[in-house]
Amino acid sequence: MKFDGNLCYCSPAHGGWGIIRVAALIPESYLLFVCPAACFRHGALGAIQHGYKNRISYLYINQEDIVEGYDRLIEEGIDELLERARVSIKLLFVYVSCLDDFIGTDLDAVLTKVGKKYPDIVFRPGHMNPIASSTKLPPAITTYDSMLKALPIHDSLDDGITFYGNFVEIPKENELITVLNEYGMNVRQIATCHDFEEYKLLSKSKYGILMKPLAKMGLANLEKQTGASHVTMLANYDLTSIREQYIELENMLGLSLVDKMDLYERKAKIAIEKAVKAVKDLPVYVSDSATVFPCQLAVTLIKYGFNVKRIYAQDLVTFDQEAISWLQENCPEVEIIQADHPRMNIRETSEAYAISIGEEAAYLSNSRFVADISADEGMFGFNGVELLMNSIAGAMKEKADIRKLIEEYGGIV
Amino acid sequence: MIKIAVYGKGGIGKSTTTSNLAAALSKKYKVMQIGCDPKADSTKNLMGGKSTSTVLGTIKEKGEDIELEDLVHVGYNGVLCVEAGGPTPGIGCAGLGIISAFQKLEELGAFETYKPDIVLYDVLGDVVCGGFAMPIRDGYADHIFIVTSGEMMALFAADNINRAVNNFKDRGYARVRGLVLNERLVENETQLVNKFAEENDLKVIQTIHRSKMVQLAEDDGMTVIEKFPDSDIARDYTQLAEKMIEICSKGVA
Repeated sequence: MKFDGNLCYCSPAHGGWGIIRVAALIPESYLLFVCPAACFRHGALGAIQHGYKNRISYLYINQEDIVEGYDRLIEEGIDELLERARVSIKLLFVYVSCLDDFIGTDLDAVLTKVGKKYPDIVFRPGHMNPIASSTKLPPAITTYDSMLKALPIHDSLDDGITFYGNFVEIPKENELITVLNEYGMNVRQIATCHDFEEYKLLSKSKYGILMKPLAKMGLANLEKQTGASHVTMLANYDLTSIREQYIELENMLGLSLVDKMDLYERKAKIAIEKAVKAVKDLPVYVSDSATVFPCQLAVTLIKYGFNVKRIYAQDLVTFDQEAISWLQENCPEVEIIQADHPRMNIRETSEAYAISIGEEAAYLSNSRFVADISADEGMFGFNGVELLMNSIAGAMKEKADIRKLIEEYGGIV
Repeated sequence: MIKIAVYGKGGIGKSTTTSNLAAALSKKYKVMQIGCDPKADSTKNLMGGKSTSTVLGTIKEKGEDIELEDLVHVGYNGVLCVEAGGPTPGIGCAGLGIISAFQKLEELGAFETYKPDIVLYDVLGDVVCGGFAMPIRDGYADHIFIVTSGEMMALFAADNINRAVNNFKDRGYARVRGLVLNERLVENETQLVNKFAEENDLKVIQTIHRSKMVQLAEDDGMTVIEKFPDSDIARDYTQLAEKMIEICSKGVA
């Protein structure tokens, strides 16, 4: 099942983790955008709002540059940037726009040449090309791939394990982190890297966990080089599925994990009971700004006893198709609403006495209560279920300030 | 895998040369020919004169969910035929067409799947923009051959192509390995082309003599290698194939 292609409406709540915010996760990285002056304004404003003002620069090109080709201008722009930069730059992302998809700028060749001039800096290409959004290589996927290609190929791997695809730290209280630490394993996450040297160690781990579809291509390319292996543990809030994921991880690591997690599973079950009691029969709206698989989350919540009425999603991804079929068969009354359909620009003015999970659903439905969850970040395993349920139960305590939540959650950056 | 791009002025006979070359090489090697021209007629004579679906046309028709089998067609003697395709004349951007087609073939793993020994890129006209330089970039063709006659405009185009390639010499792009003289029976043709070659530090590696058999074979949707395998002109193409492989194996002309 897919939505029809049409004009798109971009709500104020559309956003979350955009290109700048993701690429800037790498410590001591810097982003140079090469584009006509009209491009990337949204990103620039968002970057200022989120405190990345001193991590990005823009090299503007004009019509004559486009006609003539501007490979040389990129080289000169990088020279000027590195001369004037007041911060230590260990990794420079050079982003080009949709325009370069047309004129065929060979950015790799330009950066190879520049890299010889500045051997202490890693240069990586980036493509901020929304024109590729509907292809298999949208900017989010190519950016993550480029980020992983900045990692070195180490002579040998250690017994560490790296999380791929998450942007926020999986907390130390999480059952997996706790158990892996008990085994003395090195657990590596991009969000916990303090400097570029530490970031470079992500590729030293023998094992990996793929947490988001957007990281799949980059990780596959990395593992071709390193020989490391991974298990896929995409966002999931169903206790049985989480258990199955852990068994797969146990098989890869050759360690006993699930037996040590009973307490965490019990805590998750208690949190579910509390949240169900707090929400009662209130309509629940699930948003794809909260989770990569909103339909799967909706099914899970229905099974837990929540009264899910709507799902807001911009796209119906392959991974969610099974959940959509389940909903069609078992809960046909659940509405799946295309969040970026032009009709959505007429926002509901009267408050909906409902709880939304995620900012997009909150804005579009104008719901009274909002669980402030974004892109599954920080949530994983049984502890992730507990955090989600606590967020839902906590949201029921007071009327949400949607404007404030959206400002904090951020537009696309 | 040897990857060769054939450039030259429009109408000079690149597609005829490339498809005969593919047919000749197919006797010993697994060959893939990629036509990079919106007209999409590069491989026609390897496909019995029939037009085939193009990469861009298929993307437009079927969206992103396409398979390699939709794009790669098996022609004469197992030659794998691909047409990049392009826009309707007068609108759109042919350069972007080539870029998009190459990206799609890469994304679908065309080379990894079919594992050709030799890939031939038949490229439209001059290197007029980034799209037309795509076949010579790192990762695509390693060797370039320019088809020319003794006509002034053909030599002018050959010079443009050679200069464009030299502009990129610090990038590890493909290099020009030689010229192919496709005779048009211009006065002093051999001397003219040899002089051009000498001035540009290149060599004419093969002369394709003028022959009516080319037209006769194409009328039947075939290469001369297929239609008149024992002819002199078929021998020209076979010799060209052998010399190209020898040059590409050594790396220089």
